[in-house]
Formats: sequence, structure tokens, C-alpha cells
Amino acid sequence: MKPKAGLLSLPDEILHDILSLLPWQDILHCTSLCKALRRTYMLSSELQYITELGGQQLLPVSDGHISFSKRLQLLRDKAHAWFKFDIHSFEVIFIPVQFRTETQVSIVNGHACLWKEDIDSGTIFPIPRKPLQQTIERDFSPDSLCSIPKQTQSNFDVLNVHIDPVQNLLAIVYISPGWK
Amino acid sequence: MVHLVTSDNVEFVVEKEVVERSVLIKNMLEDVGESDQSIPLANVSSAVLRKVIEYCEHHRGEPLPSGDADQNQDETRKRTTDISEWDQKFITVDQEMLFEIILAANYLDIKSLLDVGCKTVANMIKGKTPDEIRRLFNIVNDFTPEEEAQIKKENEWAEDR
Repeated sequence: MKPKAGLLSLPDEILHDILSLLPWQDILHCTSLCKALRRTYMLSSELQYITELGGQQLLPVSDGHISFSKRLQLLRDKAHAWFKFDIHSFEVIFIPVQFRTETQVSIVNGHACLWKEDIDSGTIFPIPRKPLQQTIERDFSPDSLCSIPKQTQSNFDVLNVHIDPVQNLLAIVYISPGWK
Repeated sequence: MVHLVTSDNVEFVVEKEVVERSVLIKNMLEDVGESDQSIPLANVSSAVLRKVIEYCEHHRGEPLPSGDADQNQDETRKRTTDISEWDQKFITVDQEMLFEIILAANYLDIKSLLDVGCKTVANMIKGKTPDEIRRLFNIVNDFTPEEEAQIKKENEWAEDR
């Protein structure tokens, strides 16, 4: 009498295909179930790519024309560069005088994002350990960003700001009442 | 007509057009040519083959997925778990049968049926906690407490997202 067929009786490549259909959170859950599934995960660049991409809220590194192992490497390089920014430097925050009024200031992952509502433009710079040790400024012209509808500018709430200088990413999440 | 014999020695007589959804059998028939000899399927039981043939009958005439399309690693296309209504109903079977169908589809090389099986299992896993998944599939936690602590630590970064 042969044993009953179960999830773990499937060959490794099928387990891999099943996992690759899942959202990254579920893939991670599966890696903690047993040794066999953990092994499937550890041997797969594709699965690791999916979880690292989703878990770190990064952007896909290519349009799918290079192998997953290469993509995983690129992703890790980018993530690594991102983590090299000091995310624990809360001691000193320097805000230039010109930004001290009428701006939305958000502090995210060691970066300050200054959002000037009147001209629809933002500036990002890392918060230095000591004042002005190094400053990176980026100005975005209104045309290069999706502008916030004028009529709601006075009463929107910024919920979150995601900045990834390595990927040239700036995402601002805001609530705009009555705007659909 | 093609004669198939299952692991429990049951003979099935199936139309060529239907059974050729299996790339394995299609290739066999091309190699051997027309023949009345039955094809032994040592890895497939009659209960499972009956289901597989039901699937092939229903999808008769549909084009076989081309090999090139499968290799195209389009993430968004590949990572959908939608299943058509008929397939959904067809694959609503007990767990053992589900895994037997997946194994048979893999052995017989029926890509679309294998997809339906994998998507079904993925949908069963989706949104569940590790404990729930273990209970659902009777998976024994074979990690040592140290390994488990290590994995928990590694996965920590994802927990509060």
C-alpha cells in the first residue's frame, strides 16, 4: 500500500511552482512549516526575489528579461545601498530656514521630506548625524510629479512617505477628502 | 482510439484527440505510430485517470499551450490564481485526489491541468497562518527549537507589514 499523496509528496519543482503563485507573506509562512519547504525556498532565487521585493517594498528591478538569480542580486545590491543610509540618526535634525514655514515635513527612514504645498514641490535630504555633514537635495519640478489637486491642498493629510533614493522613488500617500 | 492501462490494471479506451492533451502520450503516439497496443500508465490509478480524462474531454479542441509561452517569465501573468468556473468545480475533490491529479498531470505532462492543481493548492494556503497550514496539510514541524527560533528571527522583518 503506497502512502497517501500529500503536499510534501509533490516533487520539488511543483512545490516551487505552487509557492511562486503566492503573495510574499504566504511564501514566508510556508518557509517556516518544515525543512522540506524551507529547502525549496532556499534553493530558489525566484521565491527569495518575490519575498524580498514585497517585504522591503521595493520596485521590481527589471521587466523580466533577466534571470531571477541576477534580479535577486540586483535587488539585494539596491536594498543594501538603501540600508547604508543611517536610519537611526535621530539626534540632530537640521531643517533649512527656507523650509521652516508652510511646508509638510515628514521624517522617514532617516530622511526628511519637505513638501511645499504652494509650489507643489518636494525636497528630500538625509538627516545628518551632525548638522550639515552631508546633504543631498533633490528638487522636483511640479511637472515631473503628479500634482495634488489644487482645491484640496489646504486639507490633505500626508499618511506616509516612502523614499528610496537608490531607485529614485518618492511616494507620498495622502488623503484628499471628496476627491475620487 | 488509444488504449491506456492504469496501475490497478483497468483499461481505458479514449479518443486520440482527447488523450493527446497529454504531451507524454502525444509524443509516444508520434514515436510509435498508430497501434492497437495499450499504453501502460504505471503511476496513475483508474480513479485518477478517470478524472484526468474527464478534464481532457471537457477541454477537447482547445489549443495546447506552446512551450515558448511557458518560458516567458511574465510575473503578473504567471502569478494569478484565478481558475475558470468549470475547472474550479472539477478540482473540488478531497486532498488526496487533488495531489494525485497534480502528480498525474505532471507525469502525463498536461500543463493546463497542472496549473489548475497548483493554483488550487496556492489558494488553499493563501492568507493562513503557519499553524493553520500545517493542520490543513498534516505537515509535521521537524525543526529543532533552535532552528525555529532562527527562522522566526529571520522572518521578523516581515511580520508587521
